[in-house]
Amino acid sequence: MIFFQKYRIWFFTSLIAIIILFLSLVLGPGGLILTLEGPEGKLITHIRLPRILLSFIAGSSLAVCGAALQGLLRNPLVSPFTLGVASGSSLGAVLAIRLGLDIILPGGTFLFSLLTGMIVLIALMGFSLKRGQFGAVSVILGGVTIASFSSSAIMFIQYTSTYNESFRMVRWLMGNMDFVTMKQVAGLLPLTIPAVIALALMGKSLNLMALGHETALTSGLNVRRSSLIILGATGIAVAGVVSIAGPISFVGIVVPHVLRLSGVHDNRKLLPLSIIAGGTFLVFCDFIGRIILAPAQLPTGVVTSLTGGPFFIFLLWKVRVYQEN
Amino acid sequence: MNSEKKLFFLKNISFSHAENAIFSNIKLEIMQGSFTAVCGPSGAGKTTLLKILAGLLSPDQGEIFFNSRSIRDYTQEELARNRSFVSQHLPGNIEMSSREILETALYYSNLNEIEKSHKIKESASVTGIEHLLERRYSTLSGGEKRRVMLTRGFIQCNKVLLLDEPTVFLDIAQSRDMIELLKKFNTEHNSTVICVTHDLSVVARYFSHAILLAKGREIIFGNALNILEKNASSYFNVTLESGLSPEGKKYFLA
Repeated sequence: MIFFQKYRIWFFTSLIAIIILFLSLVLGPGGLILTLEGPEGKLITHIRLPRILLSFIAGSSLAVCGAALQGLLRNPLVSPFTLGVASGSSLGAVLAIRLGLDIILPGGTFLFSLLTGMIVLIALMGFSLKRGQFGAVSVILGGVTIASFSSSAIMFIQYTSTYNESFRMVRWLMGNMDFVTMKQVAGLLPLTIPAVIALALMGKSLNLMALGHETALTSGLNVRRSSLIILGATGIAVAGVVSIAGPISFVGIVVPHVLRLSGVHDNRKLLPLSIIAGGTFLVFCDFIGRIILAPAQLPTGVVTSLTGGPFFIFLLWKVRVYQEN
Repeated sequence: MNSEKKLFFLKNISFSHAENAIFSNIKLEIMQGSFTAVCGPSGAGKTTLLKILAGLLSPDQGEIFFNSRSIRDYTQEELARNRSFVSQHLPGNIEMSSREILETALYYSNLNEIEKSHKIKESASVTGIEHLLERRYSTLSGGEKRRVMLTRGFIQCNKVLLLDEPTVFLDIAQSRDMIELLKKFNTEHNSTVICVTHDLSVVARYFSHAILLAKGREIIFGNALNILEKNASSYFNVTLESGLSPEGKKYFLA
């Protein structure tokens, strides 16, 4: 019984994850499909499976990045996009569309977007260590400035684009998972898997950093190295995810907070649980986006905030665990 | 008390902050097993001295020997295992439970889960916070938070504890309990306790040794009562009255 109580949250999160993953695989606007053969089987293996995999990878990466950054920067409002890396990636994608790279080169948007995301990340890491010590406020302000600069640059590029280009840009910026292939999913794995594993292992360090700089240092933690690992891993994962799925908002902020509201504050549990819960949440949102306007499909980035927002407000109102001031 | 072995030996230390010389060419010895107070008026460099001892700040010049070995030769892990530092600043609103906070003290520990949980329980019973273990830190009172952070330091290393004003913002009874707890560490667990404090009456009553600092003056260290009697008035720039309590304990009044 004690055993069950200790692992209750793991049990429930995993159970919900398995149910949602299974349902979104077999259920669609056309009803239930329970075979892997014939054209219906192909629908599952070639269309739904890569999509579900991509949603899961994107959701879990964004959620664990959000949880880790909120801990690192000690600010509950931080999301994976606070760093400005996602905005950098978006700017790269929009630029690629404007230059027609998405048509000339298959995966051109992805590569260009990844490249600009990485440039922003490197700049940010250099910037955060300018005075030798990691500064949370500098990182937040720097990230927000980059984000705001990028969004203005995106508007400028859109202003100079044709209707057709502008439409493709807006669609990209909404965050989308349609028409992904296993190849694209596989291309994302070498970036996200090491980053997500590295982040999942940072729980112990983040717990120490939460106690303040002096306590963390005198307990033997290399605060600078840990901060850089978290910053670097988040940047890589976010740039990778955004380059392929677009800037899907809200997952990175809402999933860690829902877990905290359920009583998980220890980063050693919060980070791995964010991986499971974040992946599941995005698969769920993608599933809703697929069926609610069928046969049309709603972009996932629209569904995340539309479904997650009201739920989160409800939770905030219902459970008051955050100490004010 | 232990045989007179030097735990800390500071040789010709100079330290300046933003071109203000805080220490120039000071020499200091702290004995193993002592219960040492660091006192002096505000701005004298008490916290800076404590941070230098903890290895958080490195001096511009001079050498610090910790257990007869230069502190520069220690790795962060070795330092973490051989001394703990309890900051004056309590961490902000952390939603973790006290137990989860105490577990962070065992960052380098080789203990298994059962041994860890045993160690936490044992230390919590020494400091009297067993009933707070499952409470969330943010829901504790100021005194309870200090006690949790002190326990955390005690778990990390109970051989040498460096504390920066552990009684700040505590009421009289809480302060006394805190100091008595530190005295208990010192006498029952052979901890060397080095503690920044403002309260001279507490120093006279509980501490074995004292270090006295003031801006632009020589650093003095030695027997706590001697130092209070001979030097404290001039270093604090007040007239200290002393007398004997009915139990024969010396007290000082500003």
